[in-house]
Amino acid sequence: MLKNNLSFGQYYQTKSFIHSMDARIKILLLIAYFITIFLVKNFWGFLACGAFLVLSVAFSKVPPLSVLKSLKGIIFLILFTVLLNVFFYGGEYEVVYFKLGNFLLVSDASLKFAGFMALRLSMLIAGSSVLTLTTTPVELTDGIESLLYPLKLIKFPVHELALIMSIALRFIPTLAEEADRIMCAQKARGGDFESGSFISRVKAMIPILIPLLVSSFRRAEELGDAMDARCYSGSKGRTRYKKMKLSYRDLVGALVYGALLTAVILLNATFINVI
Amino acid sequence: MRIFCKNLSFSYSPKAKNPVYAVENLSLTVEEGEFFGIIGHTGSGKSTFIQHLNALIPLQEGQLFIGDFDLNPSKDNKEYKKRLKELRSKVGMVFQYPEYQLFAESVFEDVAFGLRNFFPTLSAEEVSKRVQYAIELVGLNYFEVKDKSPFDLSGGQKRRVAIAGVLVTEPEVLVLDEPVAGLDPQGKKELMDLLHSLMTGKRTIIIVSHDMDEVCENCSRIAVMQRGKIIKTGTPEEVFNGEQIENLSSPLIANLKKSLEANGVDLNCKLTADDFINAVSEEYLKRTNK
Amino acid sequence: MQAIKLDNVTFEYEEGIFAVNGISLEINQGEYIAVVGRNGSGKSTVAKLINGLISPKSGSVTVFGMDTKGKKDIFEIRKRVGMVFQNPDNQMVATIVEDDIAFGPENIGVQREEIARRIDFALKATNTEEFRHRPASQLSGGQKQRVAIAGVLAIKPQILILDEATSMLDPKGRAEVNEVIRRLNKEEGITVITVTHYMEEAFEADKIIVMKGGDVAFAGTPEEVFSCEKELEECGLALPRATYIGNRLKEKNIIDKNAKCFTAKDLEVLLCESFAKI
Repeated sequence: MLKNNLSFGQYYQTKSFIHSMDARIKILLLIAYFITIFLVKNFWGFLACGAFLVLSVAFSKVPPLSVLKSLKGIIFLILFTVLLNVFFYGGEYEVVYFKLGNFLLVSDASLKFAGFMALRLSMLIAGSSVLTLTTTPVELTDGIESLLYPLKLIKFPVHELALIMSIALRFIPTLAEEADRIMCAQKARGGDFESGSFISRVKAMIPILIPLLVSSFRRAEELGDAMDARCYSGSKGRTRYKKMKLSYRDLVGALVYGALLTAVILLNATFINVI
Repeated sequence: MRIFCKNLSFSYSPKAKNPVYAVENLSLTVEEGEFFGIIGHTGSGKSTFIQHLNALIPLQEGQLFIGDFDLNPSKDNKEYKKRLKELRSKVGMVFQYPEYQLFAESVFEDVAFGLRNFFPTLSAEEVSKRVQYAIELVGLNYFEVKDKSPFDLSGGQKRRVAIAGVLVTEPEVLVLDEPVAGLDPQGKKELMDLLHSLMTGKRTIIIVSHDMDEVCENCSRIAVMQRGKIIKTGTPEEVFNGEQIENLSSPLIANLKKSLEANGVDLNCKLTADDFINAVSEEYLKRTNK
Repeated sequence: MQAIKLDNVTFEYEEGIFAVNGISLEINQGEYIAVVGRNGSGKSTVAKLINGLISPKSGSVTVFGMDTKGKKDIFEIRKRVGMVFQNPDNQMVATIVEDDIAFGPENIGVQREEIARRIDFALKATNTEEFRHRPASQLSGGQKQRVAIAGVLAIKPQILILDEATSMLDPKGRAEVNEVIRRLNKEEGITVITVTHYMEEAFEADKIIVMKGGDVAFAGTPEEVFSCEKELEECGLALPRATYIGNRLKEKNIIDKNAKCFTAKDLEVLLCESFAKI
């Protein structure tokens, strides 16, 4: 079922060190981690980043499987990137395994580069899913809202943006369930979504997408009424139940990350850089 | 078509060490021409079970035959893939709130969807003949609604169009999950009457419901599901006249019969309102005349 | 004390097609009102009019003396009139139960400590304490709908409107929700207006308003309304099963014509008595 494959973006409820960290710090750390991954230039650096990842999964008490599941959703993206890099890598190389024309070239360097790209992407996604698995959508959007607060000065609708994001996240499971149901119903009427050419398969999705769209509009309308009825009127005069507070955990998180960054820089300097 | 199901089990995570079964060891036979009811709470496995009936969920364990069609998807069963379409056209499935599956720009096109999928070679005339038949079967005026957008119809009409979209392939088995959910009393009555009017020829109808009174009023036989298992099967009287079933509220009339029985009044009647009223008045007359 | 007054109100979703057609009614504080009618009889429109989600085309709707047409009062009206809708999935803003309940109080600027107190109160009143930290998507229909009621209660309304709030629930969920509503009316003194087509839910009401074609067809106590079987049928409604059987048996002089016979329990007792008397 579709619902079960949507682990990305789904909060995993438990109590852990990572769960209790401030959402803002988690977001900042994730961004820093992203940058670090692209700073890495050799295998040992990746090992350090991997260790950081494993450590955060361990301290989040999230089942490692659900982190891996998040990779399943983007497996095609990873494969695509790998293939692209294998064939079109433009850097220097030593051994050529395969050549076709002037551009298509598979070499030792291109293989290595593609491999590292795949690693990077996987670690990126795994890292992001640690954030979404340990942070409720409300914390997440509150965090983003708070981090983007300076943008309010230039009249950027920070609150609205955050609210839209949190509602979108909230409706993922609902809509996935609905899509499942509609798909079943159309299959029962002989709809075929698995065979045929790419075009015919896209066409076959219409009987699913239209009802889904129609129901999204209906849901949006009802949600709008429900929000009005609960006195929603924008960010003005609004208070907040959840308070964001830094704690020692956030300091620990920042320090561990600091150690990672130092390690990566040192490793980059010590070992031969592959890319 | 007769439905024969033996020791059917299904788990959403069959490879787990201790798989949780949504349906467990279920055996059931529904004869041709029955109006059959499946009752159970949300999560009792009834939805999972009925989706087996047209192979929306492939059989994992056990046997399932619809007519002479073997639903075992293993490679030894060469017929399976070849006849899957035929099976789905013969076993119509109406899901909960079926109006939410409407998609086409006109009622005609929406109803024709299933027909064109199952019988791609049908001529345009044949298609429109059958679509007209299906739309009229559910009690709508063909010429009035055929060019309308399905989204412009009222709730009750939408549901009828959705049912017509299933009836258009003239299924011999019709399975409906909570067919009257969300309708008002009048709409409920009309839809139930419609279903009874569809009981022509050898057609079998199976409804899934959690309304005990409704199934007693309408079904010739029922099965009670709990935690993935069928715990009782039979006529409404057979199922409810005995001991109270755990975690299941009894239908009103079964309760009334029991308390009358405790007071020395034995009634022999079906669990429908009219039958009960007649039985009570007969018994009352008999006793007062004595 | 008068809480709500509709005076000759009309409303149309489309030009010329009246969803509500010149309706007038009054509801007092603390009352438990059931509004029943077919789909399309205008009952949900009435619910939305009271909350000011829609404004009447003509006539006036006043809540505690405030006109819903007045822009400045609308916030105040919505604070006092909470509303629960049909589909539990479409009225939750936040993923986690507790965050969702906080949404209302946050909107009206309640301070943090007070929000916490209100969440405690709302969870307790709807018997949903155990779900506090759970994602709402994991709950059953009845549980979700009780959480939705909690989300409204946290605003501390004086009036609670339920717009077909039980129509998508199974019997168990429906019973849970009705139990909560009854308690809120009896113990917290909240005025309840429940819009429904389940006649069984109208037993508990102080007053039933039967709607047809955008207007009140007739109204009265449950006793009065349930004795009008023909009229109810004309409105596309059906008597509760026990009441129906009771009426048939009354016609046959098997049970006392003047006895109150609404619920299954009533019918059971009356029937056994009748047979015992022979």
